Amino acid sequence: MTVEWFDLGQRLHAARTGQPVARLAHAPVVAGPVPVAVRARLDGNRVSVAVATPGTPPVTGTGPAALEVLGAAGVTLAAERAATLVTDDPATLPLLGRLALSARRDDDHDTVGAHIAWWRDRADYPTGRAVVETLDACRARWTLGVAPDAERHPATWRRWLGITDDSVTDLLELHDRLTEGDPLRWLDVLTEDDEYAYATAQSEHSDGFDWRRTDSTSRAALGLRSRCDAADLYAAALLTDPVYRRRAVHTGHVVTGTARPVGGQLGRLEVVCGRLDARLRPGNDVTGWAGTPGTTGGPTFTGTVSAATVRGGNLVLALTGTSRIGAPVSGAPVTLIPASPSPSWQQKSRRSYRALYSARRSWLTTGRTPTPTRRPVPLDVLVAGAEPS
Amino acid sequence: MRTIPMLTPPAPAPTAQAAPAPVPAAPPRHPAAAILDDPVTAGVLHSAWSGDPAVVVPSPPGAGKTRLVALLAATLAGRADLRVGIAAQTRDQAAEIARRLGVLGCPARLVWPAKRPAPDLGGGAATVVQGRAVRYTTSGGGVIVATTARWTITDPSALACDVMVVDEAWQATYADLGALGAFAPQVVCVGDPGQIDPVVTGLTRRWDQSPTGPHVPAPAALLAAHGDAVSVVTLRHTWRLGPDTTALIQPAFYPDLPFTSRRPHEHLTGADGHRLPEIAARSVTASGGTGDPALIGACADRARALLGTTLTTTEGTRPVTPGDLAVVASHVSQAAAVRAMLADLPDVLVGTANQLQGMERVAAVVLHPLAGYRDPNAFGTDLGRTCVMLSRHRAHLTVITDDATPDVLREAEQDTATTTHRALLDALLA
Repeated sequence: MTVEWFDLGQRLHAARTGQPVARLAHAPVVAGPVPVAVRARLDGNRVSVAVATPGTPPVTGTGPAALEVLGAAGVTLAAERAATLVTDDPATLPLLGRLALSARRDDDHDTVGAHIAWWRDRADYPTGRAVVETLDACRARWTLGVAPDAERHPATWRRWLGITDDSVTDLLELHDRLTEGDPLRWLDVLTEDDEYAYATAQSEHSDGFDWRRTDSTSRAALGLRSRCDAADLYAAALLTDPVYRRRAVHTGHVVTGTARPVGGQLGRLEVVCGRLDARLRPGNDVTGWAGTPGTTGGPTFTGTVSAATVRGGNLVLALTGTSRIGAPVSGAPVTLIPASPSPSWQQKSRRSYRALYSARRSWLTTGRTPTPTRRPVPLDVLVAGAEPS
Repeated sequence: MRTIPMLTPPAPAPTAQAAPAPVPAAPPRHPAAAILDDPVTAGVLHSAWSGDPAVVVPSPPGAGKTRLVALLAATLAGRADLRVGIAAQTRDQAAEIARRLGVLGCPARLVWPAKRPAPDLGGGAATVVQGRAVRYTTSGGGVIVATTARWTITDPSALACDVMVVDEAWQATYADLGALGAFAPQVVCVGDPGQIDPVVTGLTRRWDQSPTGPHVPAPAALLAAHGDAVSVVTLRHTWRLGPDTTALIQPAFYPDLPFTSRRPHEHLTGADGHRLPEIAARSVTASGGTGDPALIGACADRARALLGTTLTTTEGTRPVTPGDLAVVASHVSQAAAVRAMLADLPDVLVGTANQLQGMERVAAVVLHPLAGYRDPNAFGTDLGRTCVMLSRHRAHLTVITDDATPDVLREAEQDTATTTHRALLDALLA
């Protein structure tokens, strides 16, 4: 079966039952302590917002009043805890960015603008602690019995999830539904990173850092590095979800087979797989367990793929360095997934990266245009290469 | 601290009875002196040796980038006594560069993870160093080769060098180039601007409009940020691609890098005696998405059929062997499935565009990147990936297409990528 057929089957099942089909057993985003639902639109040249917080009626505002409304809802770096933006319109955050730039540096709205700037930065991170784009989060959590295009419309989700109110307040109810249950693994690590980033933004703002400035070379480089680390960890977190793994069998991210220990050799194991489209290649580190993709909570083993061959129509993955704990017995069903990145190793690598940019020895790390330091060149090189065609 | 090379002591004066002095032999040619044989590669050497802070070398596919990197590093280390770092984008690429340096007699050190088996460097002068003990020699020049990822977790005070050469630089991000800059005051970026952009897993919306964003291919951002300080030396000939392939891909993927084919004549001949065209396409009906067995089977069948052909070059004619063939797909799962179907032919190179970037074979079978799609997404229409897929072969290319793709492209939003794909597909199916 290809993943396209699997998805079609899920949609047909949802259509038949009239219920969304879960794509995850866990919540794909975490619940923030201060959710703020916002829809923004352009009124002429001015940005208008509709804002709702739990237990309060929606409030609207335009231009400076919009900043006032957001500040009153807790969207300000002066607040001890960061607010979480909940929105169902991809245009909202860019419009809020435009609104933020209208804040004057020397009044209270500047802290509101700085908080929006923090949202814009953290929107690229997948935890949902800073920004929840509900359409994306819903698509990550459920499949509906509709054509894929229809899932791009908020009204479809409201209808399927039984949310009758289409005001901005309904976003808070949708947010509650999205955050129900245990969150995916490692969202706590990623959330800590969000909290740390908020504290950093607060301290930079109080030190006079202007959030309107474009990123320096080093700030952008470090920002990209931490975004990639977060995305890699989130991708690994998805593979720890048993429901997600059912689909991932059909994309080759999860590999199932039968264990066959290699006679007398410690730490060596072969896994005979029925499917040939595994993404695992020699050199890949893996985590495995005896059981199906839906198995949870049992012991796991680790190893490295040393060879991938086809014998008798089956893919045979040879594993070396497999740990004894959790190793399957001969003939046991086995599930393999790529080894997850280590959050502590990621952190260590980011420290090294930061150190390279902090060295400030190079024009590339500082971003300053360089001046050449000339060396004498031998005549033969000068003649051969002075004027390349 | 560097030491000054010892001068050879003067020979004693000849006596009256001595035989006539022999005609002095020409000084031995430096093993990497071939870099001076071509004015373009010599220009790259001149720029680096004379101290240009940044040199960018854009190159079409098959122009000899790896050879240039090896010749450049060996010359700078061997003749100019410079410490040279080479940053490759994959371990395989790093090993290949070290191998070539070894053949040139350059005692390069390849930094390799301790827990991975060391690669075979072919008995040349290069060596593999595992663990953290790697250093430059205390005197003279030297070359250290490592992946970019490895450089970025290394202490720059321990491995500071004079020149950092970045191989396949269009696959490195500007962020990574900045980090590599901590090691050397000079950088040389060699790469192919038409191929796959750096692999970036995180979202980059914050810098989407910035030509110097950290996710942008390093040479492109470098030129945008410091254009006046960057020397650009362009390689203008491909030694891999034939004239038909050059005519197909140069205007589509390299509008700003005109290049011509200098590939010596070669072609395949079918079992029926007919000469195969340089480029051919075969259309398949598929309804099961990108992993449809009809697509996978067509690739495998075509690869097997090509084994019944002969290769004619300037050196003669011989049967095509499995080692002459590559099958290139977009998705890892597609490549895995084709590899499985060709399990009895382990020498056929099967992989994704990302995996096969930089490699070449006599003939290639390509699964069209939009095959199986009914809604073209950014991955499927990525021009860099397509360019890699269409430029791995020397003598022959067969593209397996999905007969629904022309309609899919016609109905899609007409952006640059879609328009280019339409033109390419029209040319392939003509």
